[in-house]
Amino acid sequence: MELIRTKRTGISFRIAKKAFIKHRQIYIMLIPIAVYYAVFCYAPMFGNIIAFQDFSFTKGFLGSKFVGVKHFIAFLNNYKFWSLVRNTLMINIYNLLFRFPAPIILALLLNEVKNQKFKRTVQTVTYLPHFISMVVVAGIILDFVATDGLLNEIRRLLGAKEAISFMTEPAYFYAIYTISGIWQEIGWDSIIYIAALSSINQELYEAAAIDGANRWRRVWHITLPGIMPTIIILFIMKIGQMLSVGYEKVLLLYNPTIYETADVISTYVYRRGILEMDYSYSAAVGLFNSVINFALLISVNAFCKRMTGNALW
Amino acid sequence: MKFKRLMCSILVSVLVFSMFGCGKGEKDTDVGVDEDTGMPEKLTIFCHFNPNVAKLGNDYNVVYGFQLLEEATGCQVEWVLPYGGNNSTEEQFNLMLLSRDYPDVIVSTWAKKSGGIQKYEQDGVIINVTDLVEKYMPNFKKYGDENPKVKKQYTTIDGQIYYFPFIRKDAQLGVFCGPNIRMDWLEKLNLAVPNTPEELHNVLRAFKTKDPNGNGVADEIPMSGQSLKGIFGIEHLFWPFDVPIGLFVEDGKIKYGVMDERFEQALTFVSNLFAEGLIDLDFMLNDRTKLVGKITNNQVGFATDYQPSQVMSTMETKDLNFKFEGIPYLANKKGERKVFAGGVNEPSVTDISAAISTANKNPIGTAKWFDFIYSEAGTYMMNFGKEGVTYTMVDGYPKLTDKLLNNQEGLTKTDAFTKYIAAYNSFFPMFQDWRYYEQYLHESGKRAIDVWTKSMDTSGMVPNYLPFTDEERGVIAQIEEQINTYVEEYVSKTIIGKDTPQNLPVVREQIRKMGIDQLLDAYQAAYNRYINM
Repeated sequence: MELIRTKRTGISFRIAKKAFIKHRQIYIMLIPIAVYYAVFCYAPMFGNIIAFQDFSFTKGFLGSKFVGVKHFIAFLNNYKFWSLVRNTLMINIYNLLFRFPAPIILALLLNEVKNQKFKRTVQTVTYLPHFISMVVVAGIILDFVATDGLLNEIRRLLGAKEAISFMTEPAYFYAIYTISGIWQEIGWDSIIYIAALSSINQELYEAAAIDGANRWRRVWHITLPGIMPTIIILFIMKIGQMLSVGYEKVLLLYNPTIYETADVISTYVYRRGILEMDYSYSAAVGLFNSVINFALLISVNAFCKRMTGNALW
Repeated sequence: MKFKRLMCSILVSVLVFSMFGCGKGEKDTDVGVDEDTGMPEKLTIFCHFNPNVAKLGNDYNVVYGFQLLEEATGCQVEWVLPYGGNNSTEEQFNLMLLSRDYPDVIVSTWAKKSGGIQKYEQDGVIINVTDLVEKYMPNFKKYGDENPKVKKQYTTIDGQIYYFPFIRKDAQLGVFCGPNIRMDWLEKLNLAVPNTPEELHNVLRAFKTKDPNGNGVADEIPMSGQSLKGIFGIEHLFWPFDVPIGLFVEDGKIKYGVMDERFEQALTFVSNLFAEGLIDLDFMLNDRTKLVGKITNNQVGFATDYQPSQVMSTMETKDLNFKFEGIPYLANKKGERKVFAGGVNEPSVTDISAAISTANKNPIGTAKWFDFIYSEAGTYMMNFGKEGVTYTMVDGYPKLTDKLLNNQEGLTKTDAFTKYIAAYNSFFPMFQDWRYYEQYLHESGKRAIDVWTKSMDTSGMVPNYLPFTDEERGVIAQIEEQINTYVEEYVSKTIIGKDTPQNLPVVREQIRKMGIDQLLDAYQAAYNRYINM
C-alpha cells in the first residue's frame, strides 16, 4: 500500500515536472499576474490585523496594542449599525432586481436587431456613460434632480405645481441611485452577454424555425439557456458583493438630510477611517463587511450548483 | 529558442526590478545654508492648494509676494501640493503621515487635529518650536508678547508653541460673512430692515407674495443659504433665540444647543418658515456657485454670505437698481445680536498654520525664514508687494496701484489680487493687514463688514482653540462627530418637515446615550483652563 502511494506521487510529480518544462513559457507569463495578486491583494490582507489593535501609524503593525474585538463590539452597538446595513442591503437588492436584468434585456433586444448600423449605434451610445468620471456623473445627476432641474421641469410641463427636492427626500434615494446606475452601466454590462450570445449555434435557430417556433419561443428555448451559465456566474458574483456598495457615488450624492437612506457601510468607513483617522475602527467595519460577503458568496454558490448545476467552482 | 529564453529572462528581470526599484530616490544629505542669514537655500513645503492660485499656475511660486520673498531671503521653495482640489487635502495629509516621508515644513490645520498637536511631536512628525521662537524669531515673539489674547490661541496649556499661524492683525479681518438682504426690494415694498425673528418673518412673506423682482412670476426665493451649520448655513436663524445647534458658552458654562430648553422654539420657528415656502428648498444642496447664481438671477432676497463685493461688482453692469447689502444679525429679546459662528471681531489666528517637520535639517534657518515673513518688511511684501510696483506710500498709507485696482493685463480683480497679494488667499502663515483688503472691497462690502463688526456679540462662541488634554481629546474624538452627525441629520430633517420638534425629548435621550455629558465635561475643563491661562 505504502509503496503504491509513493510510486503514484512520484509519477504525478514527474508528470507535473514534465508539463511544467513543456509549457514553461506559459508558466513564466503567469508570474507577473501571480506576483500582482500576491503583492496587491494577498499581502495587504495581513493589514487586517489592525482591526484588532489600537493602531498608531508610528508604532506600526507590530508595536500597536492588541485590544481584541473591541472595535467590532463598538460597531455592533453603534446606533447607525442597523441603518447602515439596511441601506447597503437595500441598494443591492434594488440593483439585483432592476440593474441586473437590464443589460440582459438590452442584449436580448440587440440580438434581435437585424440592422447592424443601428445595433452598433445603440451599443456605443449606451456604453458611453461608463467612461464618464464618477464626479461628473454625480454632478449631472444632482443637476437633473435639482428643484430647477430637468426632472422638475418635465413635471411642471405635465402640470405639477410644486417642485420636489429629490435630494432632500430620503424616500427617493434608492431609486435615484439605481436608475442612474442603470443609465451608467447598462451598455458596458451588456457586452459580456452579447459576447455569450454570439457563441450560440445558429443552426439551432434554423432548426427551431423549421419546427415552427416563433420569435418568443426561440428566445425562451434557445437564447436564454444559451447564456444561462454567464447569467448565473454574474449573479453569484453580484451576491458576493451584497453587503458592499462603492462609496464614491454615494459620497458624491448624499447630504445629511438623506443619511437615513443614503449612508452605507463604505461611506461610514471612509468618514471614520480616512477623515477621522480612526484606522482600527474602520478596518474592523471593513473586515466585518468582507466576512459577510464571503459567507454569502459561498452559500449562494452552493445553492446555484444544486439548483442549476452551474456555479463558480 | 535561445531568443525566447533571453526575452523571458529580460521580461522577468524588468518586472522584478520595477517592483523593488521604485522605492524612494536617494535623499540629498547635503544641506544648503546661506552663509549670511543662516536661512536654508531650499525648503520643501506641504500645503493645501488654493483654487484661485491653481487657476494661475502650478504652485504658489506664481504669486508675486513669494517671488519677492525668494529674492529677499534667497530661499527657494519647492511646494508639495495635493492633487485633486482642496477636498482631498486632509486625505492626502493623512496619507503623507502614513508614508512617513515628510517635507521640511507642513502647512495644515494643526490646531484642529484630533488627538492634539503634542501627539504629532511624540509621534515624531513635527518638532516643538518654543525655543526657536524665543531665540531666533524676534518679530514673531514680539507680537505674541504684545498680544497675549492672540498668543493664547496658538499656545498649548503648558505654554508650548508647535506651529506658526496665519494671523489676522485687524479686527475687521475676522468678519467676512454675515446676513445680506436685497435693500432695493425692502425699499420697493416699503419695509424696514428686519431686527427680530418676527420682523424677518413678515419681510420674507412679503418677498414671497408681493413679487419684488417685478417679473410677474412668483419665482422669488425669500431666503437661501448653503446647508445647515457652518458660516454660510441657515443656522443663524436659531441665534436670536440665544441658542446655536451645537456647542456654546453661557455664563461660563459650556452647553449644547439641542439640549437647551430654548431650542424647541427656535426649531419650530425655522421649520415654520420652511413650511411656508420662505426658505430655499435646496438649501442643503446649494454650494456657493449655485447660491451666487440664484442671487444674481434676481431671485434671492435674504442670505448669509460673504460681504457682497463680488455680487455687487457682477451686477453693477447689469442692473443699477440691484442692491444687496449687509445688515446686522437678528436681535434677541434683549436686543443683543448673538453670533455663534462665522468670525470674531478681534485680531485672531486662522486654522492655517505651518509646523517644522522632523525631516527638516535646518530648523533654525527655517525659523529665521518664517520670522522674516512676520517682520514688517515681510508683512508689507505679503500684503502689498513691492513699493513702486504694486503700491505707493501716500501719507504713510500703502496705496495699491492700478496693477491691482485697474488691471490692464486682462486679469479680473480676484485674479490680480491672487497674483500679486500673497495674503489675499490666506493659505500660508503671515500677518494679514486690513489695509490691502479694504482697497479690494467694493463700497458695499466695506459697509457690510462695518455693520457686522460693530453689531455682533460673540460672547457665546466657544473659543476656537481650547487647550485640551490628551484624555479630553480622546473623549471628544470618540463622541463629538457622532453626536454632530446625528443632530445635523435630525435638525435638517425637521426643518424640511420630515421630522418634528415634538421628537426632541427622544432625540435628547439618544444624545445622552451617546455621551453628551462626557463631551460637555471635556469642553468645560478645557474652557476653565483657557479662561485662567
